[in-house]
Amino acid sequence: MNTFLLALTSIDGPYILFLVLGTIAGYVVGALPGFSATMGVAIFVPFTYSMTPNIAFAFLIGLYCSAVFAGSIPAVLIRTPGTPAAICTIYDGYPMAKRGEAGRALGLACLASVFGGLFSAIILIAMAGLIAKFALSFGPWEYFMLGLLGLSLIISMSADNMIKGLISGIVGLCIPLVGLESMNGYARFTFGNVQLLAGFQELPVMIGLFAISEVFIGYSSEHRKYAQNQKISGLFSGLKDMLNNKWLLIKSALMGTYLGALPGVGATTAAIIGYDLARKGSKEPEKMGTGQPEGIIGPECANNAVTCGALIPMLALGIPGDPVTAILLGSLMIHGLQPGPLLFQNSPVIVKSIYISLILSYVVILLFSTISINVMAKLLNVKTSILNAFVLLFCIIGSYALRNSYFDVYVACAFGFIGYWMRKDGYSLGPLTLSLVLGSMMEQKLSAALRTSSNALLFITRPISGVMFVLTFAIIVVSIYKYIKGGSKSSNEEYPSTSQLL
Amino acid sequence: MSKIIKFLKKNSFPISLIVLGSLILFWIKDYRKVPSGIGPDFFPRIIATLLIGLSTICIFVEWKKDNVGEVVPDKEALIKILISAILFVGCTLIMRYVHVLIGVFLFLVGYIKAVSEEKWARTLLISVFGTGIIYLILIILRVRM
Repeated sequence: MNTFLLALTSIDGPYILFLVLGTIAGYVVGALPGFSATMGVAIFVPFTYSMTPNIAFAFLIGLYCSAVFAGSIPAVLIRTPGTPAAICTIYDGYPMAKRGEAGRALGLACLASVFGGLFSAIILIAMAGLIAKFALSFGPWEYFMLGLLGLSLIISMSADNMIKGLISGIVGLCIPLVGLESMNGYARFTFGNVQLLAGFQELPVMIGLFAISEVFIGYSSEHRKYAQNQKISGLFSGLKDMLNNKWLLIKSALMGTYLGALPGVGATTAAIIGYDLARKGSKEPEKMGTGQPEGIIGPECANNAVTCGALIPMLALGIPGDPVTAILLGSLMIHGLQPGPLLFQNSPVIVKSIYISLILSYVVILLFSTISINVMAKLLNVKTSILNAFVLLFCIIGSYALRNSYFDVYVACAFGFIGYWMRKDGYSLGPLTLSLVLGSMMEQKLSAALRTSSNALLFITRPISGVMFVLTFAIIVVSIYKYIKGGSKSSNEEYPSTSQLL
Repeated sequence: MSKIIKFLKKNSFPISLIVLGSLILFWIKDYRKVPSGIGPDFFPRIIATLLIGLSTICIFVEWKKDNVGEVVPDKEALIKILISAILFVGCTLIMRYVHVLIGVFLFLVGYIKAVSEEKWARTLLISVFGTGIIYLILIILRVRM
């Protein structure tokens, strides 16, 4: 409780200012089709180096949460999701807007997002500490198996093309191989280059993979001039709909939090399942897709619940739930903090400050939406190619700022090309991100475990490690079985894809 | 001949990974050996083997399938990517060896004119304004380039 009070005392003018600035930045990133929450966080992380950790996380969390919500703005107004997670909001949001009820649709999206976010924040606050306490008893065997469990989820997250998902994961494991090896201090794959001794820094790699490749991908997408001229009013007219769908809200929030906590699942899947829950629970399922309120409430609540759900494994175990939390994890380390159970022991005030930021960011989203949703909607009229120029500039400055090194800028550029190449050929970047973060940790723990005892059976015979091994094995077997049987096709098959909608 | 080119084009990524995996195996052969067997070559060996194995499987599995990526790049897109990359690296070099603001200004002018295809007056206006904003951001965030 004392740490909570201490964290509360850290809320001052700059804290609120950066939380609001983060929320605005998230709005911009989320509302513009082609920009994603991951890209936004990757670009802005380097600008938080000079901030204190609690202000830095207020900014980043404000950005993350509002970007996930703001994806619904273009989904409702111009039938184009701002972020992939807003894909299902199109089905009922756009028809509602076409009827002249854009305000009601956006209000529903906002209220459901805030509910989902706050609900999952409460679960995060209740659960993360307990999980972290439990994880304190972990040795290198458990950590290695935990990493392996995380990687095994790559298989399930690449259900539509398992081989490509696995390859993407292995490519991610290659990146931390470069540089001084942690156990023996041996220089690997440096070829006499001093810059490579420290290895590739995670952040320039992520900036390249997510921000630069996104800009490149955008060149091949259809360019169109958006025109959003509808006046938005009556944001709170959907309050009654919210009350009428209270069970859907709770179910979607629970599902979203659970999916967020699973490494690699993400907000898009949660939104799809949220929409499915809405359809199954609807009194008039045949009218879904014609502007029904539950068609907005379900997916929006679920995709925002993912934000805090994904923070549970990141904070408690040091395992990222999705690419955004992988970047946030790197950001914690840049600020000298050790994610995982030790974070709760060594920096409890920072943990509580993150909790407070999460709750406040949703309050800011609600207030900000009420005040300025009309202005934000006008963002859709800005030409993307001009914004891309600034995105690339931020990529240069952000990559450089990490270590004041121009080498990192070239690394970001190179990974921009790799990211583009992979995405162009149908390789998802999600598995790569997960294994990039988990790879070096797994190598360290494996070496430490085998140096402590040469008995490799300890990975299976230690109780917690053994349970994780069984779980990993089960996930792999079930995923392969489903893949072979052809039943593992993604659940969104019955819904049109983003490209089809565009 | 065209079939070979088509095959190489379609499988460029897994083929590159097979080459990378083989190079990793070649490079680590002289790495220091340790009695426990968990030396600096242990993890790279596993990863390289997986890389080669999975990439080979991928080529066979995807034999008859079309590459379904996020985009199908056209010539115009590829030119824009090339221009962006040249501007990115070129202006980074200018930032490093001449001055950061000159690099930022030239990048904005070059990008907006070449990729966004705006008129000169608008290009210069946005570039001057953008350089000012970047300058302020660098000052506020104490980033010294």
